[in-house]
Amino acid sequence: MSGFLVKRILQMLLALFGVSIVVFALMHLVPGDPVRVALGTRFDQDLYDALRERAGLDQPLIQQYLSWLGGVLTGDLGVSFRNGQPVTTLILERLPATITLALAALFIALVVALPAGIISAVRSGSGLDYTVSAASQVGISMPDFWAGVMYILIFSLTLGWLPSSGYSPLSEGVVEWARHLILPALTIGLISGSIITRFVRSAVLEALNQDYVLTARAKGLSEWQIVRRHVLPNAWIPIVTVVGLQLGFLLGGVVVTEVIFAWPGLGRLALTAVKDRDFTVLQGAVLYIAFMFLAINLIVDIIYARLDPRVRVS
Amino acid sequence: MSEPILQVRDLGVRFGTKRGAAEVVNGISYDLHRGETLAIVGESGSGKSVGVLALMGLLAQPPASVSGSVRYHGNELVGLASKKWRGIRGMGIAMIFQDPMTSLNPVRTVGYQLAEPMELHLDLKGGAARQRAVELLDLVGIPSPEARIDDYPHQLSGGMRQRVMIAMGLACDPDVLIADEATTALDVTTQAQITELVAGLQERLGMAVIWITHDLGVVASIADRVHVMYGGRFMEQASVDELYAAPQHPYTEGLLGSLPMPGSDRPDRLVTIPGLPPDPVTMPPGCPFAPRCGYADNTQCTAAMPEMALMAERHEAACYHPIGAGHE
Repeated sequence: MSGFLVKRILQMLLALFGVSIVVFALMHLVPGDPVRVALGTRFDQDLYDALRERAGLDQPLIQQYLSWLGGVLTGDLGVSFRNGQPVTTLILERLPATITLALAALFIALVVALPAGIISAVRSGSGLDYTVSAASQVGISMPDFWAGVMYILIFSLTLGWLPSSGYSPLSEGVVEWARHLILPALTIGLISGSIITRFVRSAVLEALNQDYVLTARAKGLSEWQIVRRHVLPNAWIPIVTVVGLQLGFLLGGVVVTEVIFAWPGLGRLALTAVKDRDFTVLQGAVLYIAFMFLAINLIVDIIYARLDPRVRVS
Repeated sequence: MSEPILQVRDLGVRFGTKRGAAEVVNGISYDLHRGETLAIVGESGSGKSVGVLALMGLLAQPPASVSGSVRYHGNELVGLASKKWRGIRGMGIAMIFQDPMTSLNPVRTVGYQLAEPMELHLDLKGGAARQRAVELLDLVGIPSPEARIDDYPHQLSGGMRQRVMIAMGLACDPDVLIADEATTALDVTTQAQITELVAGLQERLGMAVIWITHDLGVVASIADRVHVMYGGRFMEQASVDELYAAPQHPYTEGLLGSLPMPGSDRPDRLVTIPGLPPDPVTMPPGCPFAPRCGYADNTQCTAAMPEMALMAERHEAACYHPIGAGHE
């Protein structure tokens, strides 16, 4: 197990290194000059040259990359072109809101998807199954910019139950925190939930058709005992994969939802950075997102080994 | 003779398909007595597996619909509520399936899967169930069972897994053990070990066994009585010795002829039965074997299914032209 872990962590570091190169290269390949954007209408050639020199942009690319990488290794992602704040600080500031929204959305997604997926697989072909399939199809097809606006229209503007935007930290009271969280979490939670429902359904259905289910029936187990003891332990393996992917996607920040609800998450940070040609912030954000994905993949692999004895041995 | 444990009468299974109804099992009847081994022999698609799945109530209805009667200690099983079934499956009637590679749950230990029926039916838990699981593994000839009990199925060989399946079947001392092609997926040596094991256990524990197979070699070594099945019907039933010595039905004759026999005139050639088994959706009105039968006539054989008729003592066949009657 520890050997497996070491190997996976090394793989992850290698992947991160690759990502850093691609991210860095892309930032410098796309048109647009951050210093020019930062100066705007107050353009002055001397100031421009001085700023470029200060930011190290006059150096050869490889040197820029190496000095950036050196910083990354010590936790320094550089400073924003836009406002001179350290990128690490900017990302860390956005993290609580991002993680809160991601976990709340995942919670909603799982609360919806697990029962719906399992029941529709066990009762496959029934009216309930068709209803769940249709509902999840709607959920997948519903764009977040539309769903979010609809929720605001219904729950904020018409009913006046919930605030339409903004984030309230937990430190300022749990009620306000929850009131602000519900709509954005619902917006992406139901979309994620619809995707996960379909995977849960097909994973459970596949496991239900295996021979060991017949063996379990021949032993005299009831249908729900079979699902709990034999079907789910096998179905978890593919389910964990898709849940991990969804969490990785949510932790990377959900740009549209964050913009609609004025949610101070990473998605908006990245979006602003794109608009401002704020290379360092964008590099930092993309690197963070890649890191989150890889970290979650690693966790998924560890969970695999817990779930599937065949992985443990080989 | 004592009251049979299992009395099957006119059991039929019909599947609704897009092309029409498929009669997969058609009016089969038999009795199973304590300590007896009954073999049901037939080709793939003859309905032998479906017949026992119907008996165990393991066919999803729909698409299947089961008719006829199965009495277990006098109690009707066809149409039994699923709650009542649970007390019988695994407890009174246990079943071993064809493929030991896929019939065990890959993410549960052998011990867990073995203890499950005991926990369910005998209320044995924890240490007691584990103790009994170890004894069962020992009984079916698995070396160092204390170590094996925490293994996962993929850590065992095919033969070992089938032994585990048998141990699982025996967990609650059933009256009836149904082995559905239980040795088909195994190599010949392991096959012999497994059949010997079951025969030995049967003698010690007094169970009745229904052995479903297409392998006449296995039948000869293990069964008391044999039912030959074709196209969803029983064609012939007799004791093993009688059947091998004097087959009455042309299909049985064909099956026996297709066995490799050491010392035959042409040991390098196997006899085959020409043609294919009938399609259960478009089953001919007469004898299902008639289109492939060398003795069939064009009048009664294709018009109506012959009744089972006594050929000798406890030897029946459903044929208008039984071999014993002499063919011209």
